[in-house]
Amino acid sequence: MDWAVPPVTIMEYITQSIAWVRLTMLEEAGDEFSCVDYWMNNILVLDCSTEAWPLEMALGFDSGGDMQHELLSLRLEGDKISEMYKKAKALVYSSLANSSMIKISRGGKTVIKDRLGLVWDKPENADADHAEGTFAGLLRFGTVNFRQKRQSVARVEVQRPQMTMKKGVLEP
Amino acid sequence: MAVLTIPVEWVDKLEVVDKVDERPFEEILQTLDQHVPVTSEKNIWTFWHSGILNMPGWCQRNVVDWVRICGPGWTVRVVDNVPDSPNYALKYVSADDLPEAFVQRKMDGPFAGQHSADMVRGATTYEHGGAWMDVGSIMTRDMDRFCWNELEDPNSPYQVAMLVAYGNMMMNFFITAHKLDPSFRDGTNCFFTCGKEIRTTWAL
Repeated sequence: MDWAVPPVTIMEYITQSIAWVRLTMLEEAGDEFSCVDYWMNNILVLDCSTEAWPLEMALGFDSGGDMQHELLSLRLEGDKISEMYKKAKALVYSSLANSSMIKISRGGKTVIKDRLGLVWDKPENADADHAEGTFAGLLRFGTVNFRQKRQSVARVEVQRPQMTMKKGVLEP
Repeated sequence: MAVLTIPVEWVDKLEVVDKVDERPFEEILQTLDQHVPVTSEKNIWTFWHSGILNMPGWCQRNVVDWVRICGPGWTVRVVDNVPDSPNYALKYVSADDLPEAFVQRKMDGPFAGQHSADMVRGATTYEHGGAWMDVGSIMTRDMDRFCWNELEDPNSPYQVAMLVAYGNMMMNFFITAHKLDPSFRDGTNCFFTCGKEIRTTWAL
């Protein structure tokens, strides 16, 4: 990922996620409760890459929103043998069939290339996400009108954190 | 859009939905701009600081489609930070469950919107249960089959479902959880209380 801000700004942006990682490392967080055990036994952990990032996994995290927008804006009646057309078609149907959601990010202006959310925020792209006759329109149609046949979603086998702590929640 | 058929190479992966919510976009959007009391854990929570009618169109379409995809068993709630809004955050959770900076509407900085959502995320799911998704999420699978059926299964140990990447890194744009349950007080309570305390600390 090509970041546009220093690492400390990224850390600020994802503070909540970092706080949760620390929780998974606490063996004694008060009342003899083990966050480590709770994390390993009581939380259903799902694979973000498969279930929510189909665009990034297919095109790369550095592909950028403009490229994703260009693919999704291709016309369905376009050049069906072009590589771009094939890529767009595979992207849409694979997302519909093999993921549970598509997380469209704005990226908080933390990356150099605009993410798709910022591209779609532009007034000139106000209807790009659902334009009839485009792959984006097909995607919208498919989410409501098509149903996945897969019986389960991608899970992550939870590993015990390599480092654990016997510290309170807010203890330095 | 004209009816589209599933390409032959995808028919082993996808099927056509029998019954689709045919209500117009505008009708569903208006229902989401009303206050609906919480009566179940099957809530999908999200946040937009100035309210659903001020969201970008593509985000409105995301949320309206959540209603269509998940069906009437789920209630989608777009919470905001507008005191006279029907879906003002403090109509669902106590001010004690949110940082003072949010309650006093003094959040600022480059990530004020994102961090406001962080705070509402924990408070709503802890208090009422259900799922949280950021408004930028296009659903491609209904919530029950995504993970809620597993959480509802009495034989399942799971109380929370979340997405992770890069090891144990929680991707906080999505989380699903039962509300505080006495039988899991020592687990769920602590886990979410921890998060709440940290959220409060950020805003001090």
